[in-house]
Amino acid sequence: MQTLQLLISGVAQGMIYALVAFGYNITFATSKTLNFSLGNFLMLGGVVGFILYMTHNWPFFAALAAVVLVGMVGGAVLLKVAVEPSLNQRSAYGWILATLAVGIVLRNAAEVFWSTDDFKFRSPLGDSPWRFFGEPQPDGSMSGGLGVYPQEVLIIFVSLAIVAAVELFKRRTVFGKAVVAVSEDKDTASLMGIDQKFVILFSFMLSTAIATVGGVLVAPITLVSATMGTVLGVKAYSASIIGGLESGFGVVVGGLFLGVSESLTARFVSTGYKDVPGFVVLVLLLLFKPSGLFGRAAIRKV
Amino acid sequence: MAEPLLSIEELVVDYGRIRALKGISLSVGQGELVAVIGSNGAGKTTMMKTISGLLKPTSGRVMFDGKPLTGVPAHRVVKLGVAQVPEGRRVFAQQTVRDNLVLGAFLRLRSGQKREVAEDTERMFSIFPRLRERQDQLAGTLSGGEQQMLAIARALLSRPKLLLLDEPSMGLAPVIIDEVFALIERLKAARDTTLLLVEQLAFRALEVADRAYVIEQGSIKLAGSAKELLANPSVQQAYLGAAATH
Repeated sequence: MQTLQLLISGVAQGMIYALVAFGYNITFATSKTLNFSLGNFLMLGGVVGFILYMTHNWPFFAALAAVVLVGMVGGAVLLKVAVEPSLNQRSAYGWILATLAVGIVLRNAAEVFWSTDDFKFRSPLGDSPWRFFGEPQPDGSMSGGLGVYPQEVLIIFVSLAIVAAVELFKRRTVFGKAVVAVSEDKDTASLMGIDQKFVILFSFMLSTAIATVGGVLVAPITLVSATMGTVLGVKAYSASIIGGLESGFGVVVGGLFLGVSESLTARFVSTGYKDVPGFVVLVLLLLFKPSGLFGRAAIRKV
Repeated sequence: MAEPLLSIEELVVDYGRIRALKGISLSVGQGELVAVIGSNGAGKTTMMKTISGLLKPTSGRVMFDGKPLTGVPAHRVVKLGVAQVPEGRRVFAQQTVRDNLVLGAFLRLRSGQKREVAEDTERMFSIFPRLRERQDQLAGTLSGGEQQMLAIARALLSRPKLLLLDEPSMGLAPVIIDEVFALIERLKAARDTTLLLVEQLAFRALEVADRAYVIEQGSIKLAGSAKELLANPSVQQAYLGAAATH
């Protein structure tokens, strides 16, 4: 029972890694750049959500909509201000520093203009755990058995829904197919009449919007702070390397693996070692299968 | 001749410090099939990519249907009615055959011509039965010849006024090359698509073309009707000796 509870917490944490990793995957596919500020976009989502929902008492869905909007605008600004200029300068890796810099600017801005403290974020579904299989008490409540935070359930379902929606969009819609075409071959995609710049802009806006939603989702579990995204961004990056950066399905598996291994290690070994299994697997994969578990070699025939 | 559909005037294109096209001029009339022949590295693909907007010329201009194409980005050139079958086919290997065709009709589907595109796709399937059989397969798993057919069908689905065919014989077995040229002949006979064909296999290209240009090291060396060029001794010596054996 306890293991099941740990698994659920691990899966919830893992889905957050998976969401951010999925964001890395989306922009990497279309632009071949990685947006290293994604962890701090998650923080931005958490902080903006906190200010609107907790401080100003907006309805939850209004706050969430505003967060999505902030994420989309943020992604567009990031692309225009940081990524495009460094791509135009023919510096092969300028975008690494540029996106890292945007992340640092976001974090410092949150510290300067908002707060350096940690805050509690109330879950829209309530903060007392749902109990299953417990002993009913005379007053109607339950004790023992399996306790699950409603927010964990929300995280799992919303994240899966986001990933499934994006994957369906890529496979089923004409514009989605155009996004995949740009990922595969930009020049040929533009010979089909596809505006590759627009597709890349779209992919940045989508990935940052997903990350900001991730911030609102994870906030009730981790607390909100200006630094909440820093480590998360790095771990999500590990998740995407483990799963294979090129594979939308792979990054989800990578995220789940990290989340579950953390929660099981924290309980059965020591919280101090909770990051070890994930990083050991990361190093092993980098040594023996650098394309990741689900990274595939492209089919190419000439 | 009436106003040509495509005219290229003094086109100069540089790759960094290397001048790939040294001021070429040519024209393609409505409904014509014009071939450009020349050896590897003569500048044929550079010319095609400049017409379709993938490369920007240093100077000179490209006029299509009375409008300048120079400086127009590639995705807008398609909208004006120019489709390119790129060198090496460049099908989207990781998408299905059907999805490749959908992408070929991208602009038409976005402007709501769903039914017309479905009809045209059906027509493509009747011209290329192999594509119908394999519509759910990944395009990367097709043979070279099938990929070439897919690339042509994909380009035709944008309903272009002008179709640019860049080296359609590349890497194909002679039997398959026969099929590709039979198709080109068929497109020519229909006369509703104007064709600009770039080919290393000079003999094949001159057999089907109305007119042709010979390009060497970034300049046009000869121009004339395909018949004249086939009979031209210097063309025969330089290009037809090896190609004629195919």
